[in-house]
Amino acid sequence: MKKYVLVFLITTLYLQGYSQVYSGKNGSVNLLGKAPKETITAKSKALMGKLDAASREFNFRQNLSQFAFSQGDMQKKDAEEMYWQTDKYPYADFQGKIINSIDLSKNGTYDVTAIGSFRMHGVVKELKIPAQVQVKDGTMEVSSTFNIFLSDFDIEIPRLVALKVAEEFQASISLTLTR
Amino acid sequence: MKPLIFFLLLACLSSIGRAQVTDDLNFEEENIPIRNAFNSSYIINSQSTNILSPGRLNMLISHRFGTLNQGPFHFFGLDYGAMRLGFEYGINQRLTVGLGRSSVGKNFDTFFKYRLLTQTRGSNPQMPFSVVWFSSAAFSSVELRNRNLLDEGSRFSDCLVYTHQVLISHQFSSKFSLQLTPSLVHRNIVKFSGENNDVFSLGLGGRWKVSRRMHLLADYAYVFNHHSEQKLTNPLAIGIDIVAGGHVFQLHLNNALGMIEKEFLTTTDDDFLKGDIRIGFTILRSFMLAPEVKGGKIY
Repeated sequence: MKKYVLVFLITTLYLQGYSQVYSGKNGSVNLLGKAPKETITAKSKALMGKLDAASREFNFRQNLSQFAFSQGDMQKKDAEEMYWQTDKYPYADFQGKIINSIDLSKNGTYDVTAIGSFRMHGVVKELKIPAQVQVKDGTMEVSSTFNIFLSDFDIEIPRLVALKVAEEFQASISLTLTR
Repeated sequence: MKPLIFFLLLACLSSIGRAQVTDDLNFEEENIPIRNAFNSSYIINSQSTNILSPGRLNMLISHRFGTLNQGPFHFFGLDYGAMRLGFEYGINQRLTVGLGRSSVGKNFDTFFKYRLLTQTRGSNPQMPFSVVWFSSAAFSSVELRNRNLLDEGSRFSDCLVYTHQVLISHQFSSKFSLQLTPSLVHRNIVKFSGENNDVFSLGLGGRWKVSRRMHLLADYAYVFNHHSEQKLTNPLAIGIDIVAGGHVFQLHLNNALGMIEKEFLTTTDDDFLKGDIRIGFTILRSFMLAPEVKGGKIY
């Protein structure tokens, strides 16, 4: 019995030793949507992310209930209930891979391209996103700015507010990852 | 034999865990806070567990008319109207303060609400209730004047009435919420001999969300120690909230005339079931004074 457990422990530890997963939380996400009659901004400090330095695969997740909006709680309520439907789809996430063949274990600043599946509102969309990774002594700072079209994720804007809610939102993210 | 099975099971589990590299990259479920179990910071008469977001100012104009059974000569009570003008402001994520002036008893009132616990949902162990502390102080200038007519030495502090409540709410689904409201109203001086200075009550309020724009509401309070010689009743109200952007219109049927705890808990003497029903409404206008997030703009 002891022997088996020992074997199991050693195998798992050995396997875990191989992965080079960096993880981080409390990353920032800023949203900006400019419509003719209103500019909406929102921010959050709840971005979580994991990145495997060896395979360059990553997973980033944002809890959509953690945003604060420029017009406060009413806008937040609208966004959560009407657009994101957070009670059904609480998160937005982006899972994929950095396609550049770079060595993320070395210090430096890298401009990279990430390809992956972006999921929001129950819809998965393949996206290609430019990002910057700054590696410094075991920490990685990931930042990126990209645009999202609400119609890509089956989010409809009611006609009544078509001049207030932009079809295209700019998302700027930044997250520090450590081992 | 047993250890072998155990090992195989472990090996199986671990091999499942290794099947995809991305499993290392998965996250645990997060708890999601439910900050607003109700539509606005009031149910009908009672306060709700909603706390305003920082920098938000609400202006409330509330009316309660006469009772419906006054008949057509008094236009079913609409000839007479009591009103309250109220303001409330969100200081931070936990604290809301407010003040108001009612025509009933010429009352001034100030209050604060402080969020103690927030209900969460999610697969992890979670907090099942939102708990908010509410305290208010109200002062009736009519009472002070009357008292001064009887006894020159009456002081301002004699006419103060304090209310303390613990608001406990639970959101059952995104549509349905309930709130329990144990409360204590303390009066420094009472009108009649034999009346209690402390009045205890337990309120029950609910919200059913019919649509995004419309909510059904009910609000009741059971008062434990009414003064036995006065014919006092328990406040009961049913109503609807109609949400329109920065406005909320509330229409309701109510047997209470007062719009602050001190009045509707301790002085209601109309019986809902006997037809002493008042039409009432509240108009809430919301302003964002100090936005938390900069850069937003309305043209």
